[in-house]
Amino acid sequence: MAQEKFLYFQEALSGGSSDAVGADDVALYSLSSFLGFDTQAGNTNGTTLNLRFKPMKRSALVTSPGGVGEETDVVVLTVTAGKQKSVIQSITDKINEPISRDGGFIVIADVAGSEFVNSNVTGATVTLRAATA
Amino acid sequence: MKTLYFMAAADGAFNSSTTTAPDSVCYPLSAFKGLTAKDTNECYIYFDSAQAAGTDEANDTSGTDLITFTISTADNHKNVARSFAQEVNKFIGKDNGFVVILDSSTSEKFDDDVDLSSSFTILTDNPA
Repeated sequence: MAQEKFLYFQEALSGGSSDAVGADDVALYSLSSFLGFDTQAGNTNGTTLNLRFKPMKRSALVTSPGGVGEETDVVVLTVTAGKQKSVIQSITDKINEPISRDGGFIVIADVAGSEFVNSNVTGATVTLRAATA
Repeated sequence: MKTLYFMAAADGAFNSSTTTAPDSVCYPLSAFKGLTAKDTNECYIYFDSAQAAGTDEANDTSGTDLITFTISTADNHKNVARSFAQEVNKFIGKDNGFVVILDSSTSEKFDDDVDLSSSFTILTDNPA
């Protein structure tokens, strides 16, 4: 592995009086930790898209099982209803851009900085699994 | 293969005791698990544990090693994360794959905003 793409997420500020970066507000994953997209447990308006990752705090050596979907870190994007496919396509496009274009750093969603990979993305929440189930 | 190097001791002596975390660690890039915010001026980087499948639950790590470092500018995590990615992705011919992320003994750092005079710690998950 000589080079790697990294995916960046930042949710709304939660530190201080919600005016500063708080614990776990930010997540940077290597592309090799990416597990896939799904819309499991999406809201009834069809406006969410999940990106799942190998958990950064928990190793595969933790054997205490969680519930379905609870063994992964998950970033839930808020998207325009029905635009999940478009968002997935945009993310895939960015992942496959030459690394020389972005240095390997891809902003998928930065709520605090209002930067999104696709104009149909309007929010993001980051959930990092605890070290133990 | 890229390797990511950290040295937390200012004297660079590689002589921490056997009961404390090592002065220095170096991970293959494939062991990188993620970077996140500890708070407004600190970041965490997680790696797969180099030593063992310990259960250091008190530190919210389990089978993972944890690097903690300070950034001078509040809420500058995004720029720091970008610098980390770019440092890792430097042309391999420039460093032969050896990437110094943070070194307190030489003041080398991947981003100028990292404050090596403040908290920079290496926490390894020890064998249970």
